[in-house]
Amino acid sequence: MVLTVTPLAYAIANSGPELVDQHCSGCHVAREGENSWSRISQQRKTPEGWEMTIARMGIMHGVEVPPADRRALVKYLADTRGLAPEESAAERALIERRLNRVEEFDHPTFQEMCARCHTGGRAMLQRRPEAEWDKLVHFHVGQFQTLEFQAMARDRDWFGLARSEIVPWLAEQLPLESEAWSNWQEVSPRQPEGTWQMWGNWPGQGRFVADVAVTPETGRDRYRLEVSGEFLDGRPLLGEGRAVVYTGYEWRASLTLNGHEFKQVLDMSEETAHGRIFDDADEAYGMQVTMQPADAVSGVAATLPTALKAGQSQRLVVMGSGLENGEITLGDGIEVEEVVERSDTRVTLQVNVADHVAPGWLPLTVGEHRQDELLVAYDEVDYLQIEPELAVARVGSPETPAVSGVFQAIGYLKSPDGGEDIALGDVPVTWSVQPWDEIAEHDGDVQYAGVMDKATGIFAPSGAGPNPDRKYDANNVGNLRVIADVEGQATAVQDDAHLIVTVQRWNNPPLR
Amino acid sequence: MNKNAFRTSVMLGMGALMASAVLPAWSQSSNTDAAAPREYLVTLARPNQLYVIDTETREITRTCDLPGDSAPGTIQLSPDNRIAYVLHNRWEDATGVDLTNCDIVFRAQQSSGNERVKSIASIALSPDGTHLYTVQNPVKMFLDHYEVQEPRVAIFDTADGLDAQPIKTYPVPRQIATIATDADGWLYLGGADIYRMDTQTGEWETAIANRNWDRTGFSRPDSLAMWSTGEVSQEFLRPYSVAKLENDEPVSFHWGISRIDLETGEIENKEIGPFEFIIFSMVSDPNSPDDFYGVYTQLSHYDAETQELVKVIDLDHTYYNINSSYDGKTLYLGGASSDIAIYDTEFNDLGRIELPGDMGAATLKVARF
Repeated sequence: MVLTVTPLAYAIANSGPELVDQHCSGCHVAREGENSWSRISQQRKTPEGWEMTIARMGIMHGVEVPPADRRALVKYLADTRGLAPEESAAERALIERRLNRVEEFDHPTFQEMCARCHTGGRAMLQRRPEAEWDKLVHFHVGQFQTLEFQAMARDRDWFGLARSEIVPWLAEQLPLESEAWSNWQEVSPRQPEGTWQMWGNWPGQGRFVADVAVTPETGRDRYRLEVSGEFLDGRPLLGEGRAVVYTGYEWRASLTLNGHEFKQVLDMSEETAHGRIFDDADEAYGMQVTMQPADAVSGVAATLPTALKAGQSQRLVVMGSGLENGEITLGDGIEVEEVVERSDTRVTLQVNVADHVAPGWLPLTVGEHRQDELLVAYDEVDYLQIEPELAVARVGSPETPAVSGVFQAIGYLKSPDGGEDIALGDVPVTWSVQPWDEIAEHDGDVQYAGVMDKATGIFAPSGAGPNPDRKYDANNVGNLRVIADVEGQATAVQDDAHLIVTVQRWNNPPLR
Repeated sequence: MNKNAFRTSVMLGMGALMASAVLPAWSQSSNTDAAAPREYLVTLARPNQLYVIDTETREITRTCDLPGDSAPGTIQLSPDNRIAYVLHNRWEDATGVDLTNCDIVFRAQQSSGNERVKSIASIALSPDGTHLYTVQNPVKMFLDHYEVQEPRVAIFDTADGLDAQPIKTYPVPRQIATIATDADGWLYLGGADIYRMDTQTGEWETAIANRNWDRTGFSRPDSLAMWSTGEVSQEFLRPYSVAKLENDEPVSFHWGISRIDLETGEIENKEIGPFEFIIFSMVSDPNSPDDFYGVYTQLSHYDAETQELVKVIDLDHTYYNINSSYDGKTLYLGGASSDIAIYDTEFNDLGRIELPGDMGAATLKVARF
């Protein structure tokens, strides 16, 4: 890993200010000081935030920016007017396009006032002074003039309340100037070229670990990546892609893995990067990933899987650093049958788990490295929790690809001594759907809304459009109960979740 | 507020308008003319057509092209019902169309310069048809920012032709949607509350308090008011939904109506039945003012006297706007899609009238001439 000593503030693309002058300053007039333009210099936001702003300038004001200039503008603006890692930390899920969440904010009306149309996180990923937040309210009513007449606006003085109650709250919480941002601008930005180890759990495909070779490409903070690894069952995982790092830590890649096109979002502000790989058109279809540089000093960092079931011979991969030498032990009842592969950063084992293994944490040692609460043994799952608890899937059409329902069933061991229960990771279950309620049953939602894959927990929605076979000519919408039954154990264990299959979204910006 | 309380505060200047108020032409002629007027449905559909439909033959009598797109298509009729004034072009333009020959007889493009003006379903005619009212919601579009301006009632002279400009404007509160005039010329403005304006002076006061009502044990009402119907029963009707509260917690949900009798100026505000499903628009029975018909994905009938849901049926799809024939025997359901559904008041399905395009949020008016 190469670290430079160039602070971010000096690392901006040379062409940035010229591009703003060329494409934006017709309206956003230069203000006091160098590289300062009205409105633009009074805001900070994510690369996605700037991208959406430039897109809106095109759609609503006819601004035409050639693609290369547009990319360079987003880069320049996100680098010079971005968010510090601490400022984006609370909203990583939104940036990673994890939409099946219920937001909560510490304000009595913010969600009714603002987050009834878009996520509250969209505001949380911006920084402005009070006058700018006020301009944003004017923009909302000015651009979307029916806003004040919609439900949860027409029952109150929306414009007045937005200016008197929401604007000051936003300005206080999300100011333009912050210590976090000042400090971040002095930090040497990450130079990610080198080899990384990436692991995750691809829905329907399984757990995988791969090496990711990152090499610089022409252009500032642009990289090429080569992915080479395998799933736990030995199937290969191969891919390649391209990445840009914005604001010194916001990794955005387009990559192809085993022929499937994905986007990747990572937070690279810490040594080990965390984020998500997802399908840009079907954002529910994705996976959390960890990417650790080969030169990280971590000892035993993680295992795949995180839980071993009693009475089975199975593959176990240990990731980290300094793993090449020394004895490997996993505690009573676990026998290492074969060391399949071993390197400094990864050990692949075939292990046999005894029938009588004691359920609970396994003391894992690799040479001098030891982890007592990383790997767990279990015989039976005590209870399940489906994630997410509530999901929204969308019917598909050629113009608007379907958004899947993607579920995982996380198994748990109850703590025998009243301590914390132990999560086992996703465990094998059989998936099914049922009507959520009597109305759903009466309307045949299970029949029309789509198909649940019983092995993978992936729900494929049906096609869009009025269905003449349905009551009200309804679309293939549905209100469903998703059920997971644990496989391979005597005691029946089940959990359920809620899946709403609804109509398409026609407006799909990167930040909803 | 009751009517008497309001009448004691009637503003000077209304006398002239009250004296000059005329009844709609059809109500004068219906007693004297040998030939009874024919009844038509008037509505708009995408991309930019106004349709005149003969209710007897169920045929499209006339298709008139509008300048600019039809959406959303809020319609008011001239007193003689022969001109439809339409809010269209994304709420920005008010255009008068002669229903007998499709001639464009009036046009006001409300936006100009850097000021974009939209009227959200706010369009009305003076009782003599000489003036058109809109509520303008202006926004100044500066180079790098917008400034939302105060709304205003704009008064146009309907004789001003195809480049009509407001002859007068008056400031009004925000969030006004449908508006209407009564026989005396009062202009009713459906906003947070329903206001009553003297169009001679621009002075206004609250006719019916809704958001600001003082009703212990009730939530604030919620009212979606986008459809400018009411011509058949001569009323300005605004349905609302409301929760009854005990210890500030909702215990039951109800539909209610705010209503102004446009012949007498009488006002009413009351619950009419249980809230069990969404209703987008309502009409009252012209023969029985306490019977209300509502539409969305159901067609429903409420009796306000007993506060009961008398009858409800599921529809084949969603409709937004309901209207009634003048004899009160037939209900017409329009909006949303491209077919107008016809029902009798027992909810027997009497058929459909197909239009070439979707009506969207357009008003479905009943005209007689």
